[in-house]
Amino acid sequence: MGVGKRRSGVVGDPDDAFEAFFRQRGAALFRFSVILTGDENAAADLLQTVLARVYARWAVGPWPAAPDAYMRTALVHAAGQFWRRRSTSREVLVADPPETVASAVPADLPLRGALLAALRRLPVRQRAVVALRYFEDFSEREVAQILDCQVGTVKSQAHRALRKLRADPQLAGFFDTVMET
Amino acid sequence: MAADLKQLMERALGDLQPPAGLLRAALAIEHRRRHRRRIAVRAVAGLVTVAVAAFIWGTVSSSNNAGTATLIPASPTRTPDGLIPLAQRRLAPGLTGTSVTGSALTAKFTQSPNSFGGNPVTVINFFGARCGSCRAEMPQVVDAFRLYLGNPISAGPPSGINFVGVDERDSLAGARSYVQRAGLGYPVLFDKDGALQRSWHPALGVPYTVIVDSDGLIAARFTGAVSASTLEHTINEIRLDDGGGGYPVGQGALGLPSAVVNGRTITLAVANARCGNLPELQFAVVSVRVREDVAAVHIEVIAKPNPAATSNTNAQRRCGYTGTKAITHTMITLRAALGTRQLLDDGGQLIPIQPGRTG
Repeated sequence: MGVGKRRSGVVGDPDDAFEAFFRQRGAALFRFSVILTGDENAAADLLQTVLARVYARWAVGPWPAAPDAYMRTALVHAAGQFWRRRSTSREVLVADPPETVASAVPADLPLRGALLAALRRLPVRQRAVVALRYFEDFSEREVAQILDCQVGTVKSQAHRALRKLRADPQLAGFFDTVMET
Repeated sequence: MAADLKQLMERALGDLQPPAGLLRAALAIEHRRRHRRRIAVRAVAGLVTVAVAAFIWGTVSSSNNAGTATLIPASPTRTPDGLIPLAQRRLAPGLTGTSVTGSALTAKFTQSPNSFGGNPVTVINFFGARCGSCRAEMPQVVDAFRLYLGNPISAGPPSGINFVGVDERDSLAGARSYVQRAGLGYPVLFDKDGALQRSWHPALGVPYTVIVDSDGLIAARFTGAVSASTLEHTINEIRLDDGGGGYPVGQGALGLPSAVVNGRTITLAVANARCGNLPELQFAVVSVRVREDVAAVHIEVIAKPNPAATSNTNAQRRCGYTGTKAITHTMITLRAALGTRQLLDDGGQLIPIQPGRTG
């Protein structure tokens, strides 16, 4: 009902605008969430929670200048809380049944399993740095801003995360293949 | 190093898509939350809405020179069962149809702001002869009807209470025989497909009882079975709100004594006039309603059982309470409200109140 009138830049039904945004950016945000959580199901949960929260905000107030970046920041912050809340009952998932949905870009499923497992072994903060710094290509300064920490912290966390991923026995082989191709 | 990790991650994910329905689920979470909040907000906003609606309604009714206002097209607000506060009442839609006996019936509810109970208070009971809880409820409605000596819908005297039944989703033959058997002494409309109830929001099914006050406003509603005592109490409250004497006057054995309490004039109104006619009962003043906007302070009088009488159960049921606890409790209310234990009647005689010893 009558909400969303104050929104600037976007006209029409707030639901429509939000849906359009999701159609455009949803997949990328979901992939970011997967890296952020190291788990597809947790990523879906996280994204859903954050979408609901952000939608509540955007439906009544003005949209942020960069909705995409806003979503990423919200996801990173929520991921911290998400895992904190779940830390006692965190499930360690084994290889997911492969999705049967036909993909335009065929995914390397064994690699996905190994990568996500390795990511899950990282602390939340390091995973966030990996997702922001290496998956999304944010600069160290931007990552520091999103995580609300020093640039130095980003550097050290990134370094540690990379070292761990490098040393991961399951991932090691894949790194080599990437190097080769 | 960084580049190969990015490449690795992209290869691992491919064009991984979010699960279908994720957005819809997210929006549903928020909509549900918002709905819950809206219910709370509505309670506050209701008053404002009604004020606006009353304004519109005033305009509508003044443009209708017959004085018959149409239903306010306000957003349907779910109000709880029971008495609706004066400020939140909405104009009742009319009732038009054929009675179970085949005669045409029309009820119009008009606004008459200055009338002193100008229109009869009308009780509309929606029921179905085939519905069990309706059949269980019916003796209670009939009881209340008899208490007020209900009058025919279009010819009720101003002080009377009209009762109208609406039998819905029934066969005509079934409705007829039931109305006869149940001893419904008031007009009953036959509404085969339940269309009549739809304009009486919220139409949730049967039994459903609505009371329209003398201004033609819906003053109370009850979804589900209602007891005679609840009906009676509500009707009395509505009459009190109408600014009149509140209770049916002159019908009781006690009459209407006035009293002076702390310099205020007090009208003793008989709440359960009929109870007064029952020999096995005594009367006790049990509660007081102080209304600053009405000149008089109304005192509710209900009957209490006479310990000497052998059987009071039926009378107690009719008078709307059981046991003596209720009396003791309301006695305390009386004292708190008036700060005195002395009530004087017309002739300056003391009306004794003895809390805790009335039962």
